[in-house]
Amino acid sequence: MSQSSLIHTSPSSLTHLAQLEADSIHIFREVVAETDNPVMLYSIGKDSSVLLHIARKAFYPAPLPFPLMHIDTTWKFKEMIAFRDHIAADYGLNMIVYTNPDGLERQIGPFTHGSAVHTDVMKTQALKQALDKYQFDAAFGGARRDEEKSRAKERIFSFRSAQHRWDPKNQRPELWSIYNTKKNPGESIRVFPLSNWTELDIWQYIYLEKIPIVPLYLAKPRPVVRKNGMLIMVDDDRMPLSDTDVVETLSVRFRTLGCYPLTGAIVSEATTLPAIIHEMLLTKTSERQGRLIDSDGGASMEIKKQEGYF
Amino acid sequence: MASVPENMVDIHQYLDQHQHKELLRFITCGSVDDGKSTLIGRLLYESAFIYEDQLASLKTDSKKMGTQGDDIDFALLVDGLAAEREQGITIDVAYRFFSTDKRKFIVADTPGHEQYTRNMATGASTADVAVVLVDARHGIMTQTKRHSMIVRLLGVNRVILAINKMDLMDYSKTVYDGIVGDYAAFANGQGIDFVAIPLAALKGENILRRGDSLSWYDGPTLMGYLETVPLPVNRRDHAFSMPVQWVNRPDLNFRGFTGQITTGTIAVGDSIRVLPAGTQTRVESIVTFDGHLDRAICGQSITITVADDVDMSRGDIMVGEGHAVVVGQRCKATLLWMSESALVPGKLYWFKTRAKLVLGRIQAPDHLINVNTGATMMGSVMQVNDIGDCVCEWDQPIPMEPYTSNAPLGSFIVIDRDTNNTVGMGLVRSISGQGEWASRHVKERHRHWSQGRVSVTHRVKRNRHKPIMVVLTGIVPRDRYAAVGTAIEEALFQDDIQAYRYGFQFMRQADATESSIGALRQDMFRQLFDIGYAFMDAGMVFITAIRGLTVSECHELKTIVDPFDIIIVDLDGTNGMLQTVCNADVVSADEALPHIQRQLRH
Ligand SMILES: Nc1nc2c(ncn2[C@@H]2O[C@H](COP(=O)(O)OP(=O)(O)OP(=O)(O)O)[C@@H](O)[C@H]2O)c(=O)[nH]1
Ligand SMILES: [Mg+2]
Repeated sequence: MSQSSLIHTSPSSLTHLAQLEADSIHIFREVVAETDNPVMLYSIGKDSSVLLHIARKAFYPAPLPFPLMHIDTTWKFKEMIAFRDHIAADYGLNMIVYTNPDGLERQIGPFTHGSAVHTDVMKTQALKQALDKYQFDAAFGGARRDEEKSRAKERIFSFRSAQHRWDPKNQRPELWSIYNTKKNPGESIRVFPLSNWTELDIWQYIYLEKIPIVPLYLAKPRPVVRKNGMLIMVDDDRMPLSDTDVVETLSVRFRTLGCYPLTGAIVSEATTLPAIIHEMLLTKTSERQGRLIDSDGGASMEIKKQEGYF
Repeated sequence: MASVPENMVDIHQYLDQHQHKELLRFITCGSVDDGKSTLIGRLLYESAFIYEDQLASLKTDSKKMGTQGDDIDFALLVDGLAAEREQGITIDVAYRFFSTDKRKFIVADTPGHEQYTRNMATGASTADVAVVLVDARHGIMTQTKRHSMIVRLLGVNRVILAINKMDLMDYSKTVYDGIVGDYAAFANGQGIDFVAIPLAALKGENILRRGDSLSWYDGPTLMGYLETVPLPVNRRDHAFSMPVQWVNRPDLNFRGFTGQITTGTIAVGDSIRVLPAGTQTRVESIVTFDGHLDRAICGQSITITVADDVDMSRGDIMVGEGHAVVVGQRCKATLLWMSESALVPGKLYWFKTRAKLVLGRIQAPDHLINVNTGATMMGSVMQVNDIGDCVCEWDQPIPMEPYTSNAPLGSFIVIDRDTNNTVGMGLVRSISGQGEWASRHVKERHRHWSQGRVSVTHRVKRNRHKPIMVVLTGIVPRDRYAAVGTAIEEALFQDDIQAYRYGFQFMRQADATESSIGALRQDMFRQLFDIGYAFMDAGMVFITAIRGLTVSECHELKTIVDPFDIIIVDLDGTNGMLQTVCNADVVSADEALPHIQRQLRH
């Protein structure tokens, strides 16, 4: 079962990644020791892969003491869903998949309703419904502080009101690594064990620990069309194509993964992890640039978070 | 930014180097508007840690809400909340990440407003180095001192005094020297070691590159200093300590104790002690997902299995040989109060340490610290943002060590039971071991004792009853103690028992305002317990009253009057803890008399 890890290289001091990993494990165990019904939100992306890997380390040899939950908008890349099911079976995970039934009924989708409505109904509302349905009092997420300016402000243990709202102006102090997990009635906690990891840390850790990731992160010839200045992959036939749309086959990869109509690809020849890391070091844009939802307005992520978006 | 490799061969070398770079965590702090966020924004910008899309939105935002006309307002890079951008201030701490060829950095940009001191403390609690900013126009302010004091308290030993906005003071060396002198006068008294650097954050002078107008300054730039300042000493060389965080018990064949090592190292075969119980055992294996380890070091999160079937659970602490952890129920701590509602002495609060959550009370502060002078001052009320020394007491003994020698085991947070908010942070100064002074006192008494030929045994035979101490407690009106005590004394006397009610009643003030109440109280207890001991040695029943007897006092009482028995009469029904925790014999007022009579003939 166990193979020796590449990140613990020195007997007298911990490498940077080993230290980050140990701190994240501490956070996982603290939540399990102090909350009643935790869950891990699993988005299938690279950060989720790292999160899952560390969770398995934290509780080894015991199985994960909490379920995973994927909020399925029904617009994820096909390869993501295949990867999710494969990982769940392989590791014997308790994987809850939840879709907003009301949104499904109304056939909400990014092409027909726009990205804002789609994200709100199928992601934000769906998440709130699922948390209420299962009465989870703590939810792990893979967000990092280096992703975005309002994330940079968020605590590792971040409280949500009964209405799932974040009050950024009134966060509890968070001192040392002593975490106050006391909740008021109806409150829940979002916990971010990867808060202090950077994008480079994540990739390097995936590389050294040989963590499986969705193949969409690596470059491959894929069919894409240009929409709003982004390269959108034609993942299925729900994609409306007009006469002027040209489907090209380009060698592309994705820096982040989400709903395929909202996720921009980048042209790349990077077919290996070192090549990805190399490209990342040279890039001049942030990883969130490939996401449509972040760019509508200066404080948009903060507002979405206040409304309950993860 | 760290230079990027040209080709694929170098990438492995780059990653290897990146992984082994040292990490330095620092904060920016100081008074309102001194330019902290501008400094960090500028530093990220100059070290190329800003992506093009981020820079584009920074430029738009600067035009829309910035303070800089058409220029970039660098503070907007870190002031990420809508409310902060609207008001042009920092409300909460922002964490940013960058690296150079030499080191990696995590910087926490903290707010200057006094109202948000708790957020500043949040950032400072995990920092190695503090950059204290000063506006060259205003010099040292109260907030400059408050932040410096918090930083010092938390054990951040490296302070950089960054004198900013030099451009607005004509880059004057005289102004700079004046401020350095003022700060030195304050810092020397506080034991704060600092270096000073003149800056113009807005213009990027002396951040990465030297300022042309600051040619009179020949010290390092800010980045030059951050890249070379020695890191704090690793806690690896201390004795081993690790709080048990969670017991891993997937099936009957495995029982592992998980935790993150707080100090020292541990190896298979090492003998360890489990505190507070003091049980001894041996490390059988160190289990990780990546295989068994022979040894593990400070900072690692591991799972330990032990050789014996010892009782160990969350909150216990494993320690190795030579450790300095003390098990105690009471400590002296420096507190920073962080709630708008003042500290209520004697109120029950939650305390959370690195290891566990316990209930406890805080006594009125011995003194507060004047943040302007650093001097101690009298004061009995702790308000928001006050710093002071208090005695804290828990409902159970917990293992602790002073903050200065083992920060993870010497720190705690205080949680209000009504709001669930974190209302205070505490740094342990000293721990009174469980009944430590009491056992010292017993030894001392023994040394001076001369035993006569008539012993207690003879007296028991003559009196036909045992000597016993009866302590009335609870929080009830004063005359109730006297009424119950007198009734018991009288009834026993009628029953031919040698009983004496000691008329002195220990009525502690619930809202004690006396400054050195701790020492005074200890004195009075010693006297009271000694008198009780003498009466029992004389074969008698000794009746007394102590308002609100605490668990640790009960322990001390037991130690001092040992081997005699104690019966505690619980007048308000809230003292079950004395039975469960101290194993004391607790009865209600109604049952008291028959119970005492039974025990006397026992
Ligand atoms: N002229 C000049 N102005 C500066 C300099 N550094 C900062 N400022 C200005 O000072 C003002 C306050 O700057 P901030 O960076 O927001 O100050 P702060 O210390 O982060 O403020 P708080 O976080 O709210 O305490 C802004 O208008 C800055 O542009 C400097 O070196 N020179
Ligand atoms: Mg600021």
